[in-house]
Amino acid sequence: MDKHTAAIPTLTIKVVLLGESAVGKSSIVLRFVSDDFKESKEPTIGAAFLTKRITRDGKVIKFEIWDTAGQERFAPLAPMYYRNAQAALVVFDVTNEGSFYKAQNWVEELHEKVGHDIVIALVGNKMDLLNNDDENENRAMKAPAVQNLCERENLLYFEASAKTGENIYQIFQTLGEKVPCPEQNTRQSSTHDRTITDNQRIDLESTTVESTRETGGCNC
Amino acid sequence: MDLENVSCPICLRKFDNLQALNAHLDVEHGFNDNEDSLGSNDSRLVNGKQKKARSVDSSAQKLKRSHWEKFKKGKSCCHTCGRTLNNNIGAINCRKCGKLYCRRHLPNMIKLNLSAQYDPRNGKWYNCCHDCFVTKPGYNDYGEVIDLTPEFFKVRNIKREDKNLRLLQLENRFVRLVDGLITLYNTYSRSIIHNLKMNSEMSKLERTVTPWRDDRSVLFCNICSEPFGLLLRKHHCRLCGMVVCDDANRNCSNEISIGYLMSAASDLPFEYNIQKDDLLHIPISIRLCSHCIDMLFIGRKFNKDVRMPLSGIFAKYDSMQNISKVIDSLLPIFEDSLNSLKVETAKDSENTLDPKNLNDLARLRHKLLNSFNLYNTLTRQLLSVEPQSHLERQLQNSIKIASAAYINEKILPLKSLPAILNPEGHKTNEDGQKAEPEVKKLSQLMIENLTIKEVKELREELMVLKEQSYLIESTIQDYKKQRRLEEIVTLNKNLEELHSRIHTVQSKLGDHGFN
Repeated sequence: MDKHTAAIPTLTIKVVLLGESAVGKSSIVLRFVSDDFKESKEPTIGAAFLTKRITRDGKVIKFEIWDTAGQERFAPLAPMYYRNAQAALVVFDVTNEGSFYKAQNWVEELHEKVGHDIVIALVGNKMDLLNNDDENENRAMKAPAVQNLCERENLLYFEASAKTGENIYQIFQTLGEKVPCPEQNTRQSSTHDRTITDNQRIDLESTTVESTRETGGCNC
Repeated sequence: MDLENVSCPICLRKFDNLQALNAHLDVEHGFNDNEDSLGSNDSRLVNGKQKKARSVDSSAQKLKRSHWEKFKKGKSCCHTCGRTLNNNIGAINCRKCGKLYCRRHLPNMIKLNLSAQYDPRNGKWYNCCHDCFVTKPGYNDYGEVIDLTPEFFKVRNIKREDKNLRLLQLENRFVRLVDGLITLYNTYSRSIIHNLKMNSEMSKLERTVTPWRDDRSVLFCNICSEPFGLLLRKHHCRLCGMVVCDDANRNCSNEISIGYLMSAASDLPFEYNIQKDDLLHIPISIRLCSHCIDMLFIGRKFNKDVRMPLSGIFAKYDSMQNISKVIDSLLPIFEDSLNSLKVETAKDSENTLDPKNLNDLARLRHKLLNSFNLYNTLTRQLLSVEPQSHLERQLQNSIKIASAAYINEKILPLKSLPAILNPEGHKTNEDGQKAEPEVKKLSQLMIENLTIKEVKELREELMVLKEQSYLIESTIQDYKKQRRLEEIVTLNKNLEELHSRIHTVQSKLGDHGFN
């Protein structure tokens, strides 16, 4: 968040990512939060917590993202994270049919346990693996099956690729629009009496060499 | 090329035309033999028709052909590539084994006698297949051996000499530095004023031992390459003079007590004796980089460890492993019997157990309990052994944790059988005969109304929850350092939820949870 967004109203959205192991949940989050992608990523242990702020229509949206592990042994953790979530990303791999059926189970569980207030986005990840000339060749799930699920369960649907970054930002942007904005969630930062100019600010996180020089060489 | 007046390449005799030269070569120089090495079954495929090879000299001895495979048009295949043979790809017999091949797969030549046997001395050159070529005697016998060991030693010795030279240099510097510092300490440690003088003298001494690199030109740590800043300070290694950081996590440099250093390198020729001069608690530390520490002490530590005799811990642990093998072999049998017994009981309307099966199960359970008891005794004995080093203490702790987990995990099925299966349950009746064991309902075989499966599931959940709470705690610590206070609030809430869930699961498990 930059220096000037302090006085802008902030909407906090808690998002949980669900889906089978190795469908690319962590890669989607990494692409959104850090605009980065790692070819070989370690499987997530438990649930990872990340945050990201985006500015939309003059207001700051802060995403609190819980990236859950897809492995079966971590399944008991999921309810803790989707219980209070305002949005859920249910991810499947477009080249793996099994992951779609698992995603279907997650959607049903969410509606059963949380109700229909939660905004659910179904994300077909790894679009980069599909052959552009003949998309249906490698595609495990055909469009009607996905469309049918989305209509039946009232889901947002995105086809994305964490590797290329295709559609990743749009997913979260759409979630920001779709999640209702409660009054108590928007908070105005109080303005201080004394205004601090930019050149008076001290950046505590800076570890530049210039600051070291002024302190006088080594610490021996 | 002029086809008139051609001469024989061997005897240089002139001929009017090419045909005469060919006839001369066939008759005089025996080039007719070469047809042997190309033709198949004494005939050759020419434009799809078989043409008889000319027999020039009927008296000339010919290579044995009785073992040759007959060519069948459209049916014969190459034994290597499997292609159907025809006049385009050729159809040639291997002169040794007689199998048919295409031209491409008969590339080798071999010396054979007239009986088609390998004869390197008196034989003539004939075409043969790859298999015959590689199976000939001595095919792999006369390879050239190139011994590069001397060159390798040469290169290695140069590197070793460099390393030894560097080590010697470090050791000399180390001895000079330690001796100098102790001398200064003995001279100046009387009063506060002397102390100030001592510090400046020590600083001078440190710089004379090795030249320090100018820190103004150094922007990054020499070991971890992290940029220096307000939080990451510059320090000089007192032995190599390099500029390094003092980050606790990366361990690039450490201030180590002089007494500890001397005891770790007690073989070096110091002026002072650590025991005699009571230098173990001397309040002087030397900052060394991790490279110098490794170079000076890793070899010494290794040699020290090698000289140390193996302790009794290992013998005890070996016995424990043997007992665990016995348990692992008996337990599946017990579990299978128990499950089948439960199935029978579920079918039975009165919900009772068969006494005969119950006896077998009781015996097996008794055997298992004895094994567990022995395993536990051995663990206790192992833990009672006095550890010789810090590593052995660590090893003991690890074995203690592992054996506790092992017993906890494996003993669970035994708890599924009620206490009546103990020997006390087998009471005798008035006749002195063994009475049948008292039979109880299946519901009483459950552990506090939890099945084995449920206990396992709850334990797994508990492990996952504890793992997650640990991860969240470490994330909170990181965020505290980064002053990310908003996120910490969220994480603290989550941590509370995790703890309450852990408490719930633990209360469900009761005695069967982890301590």
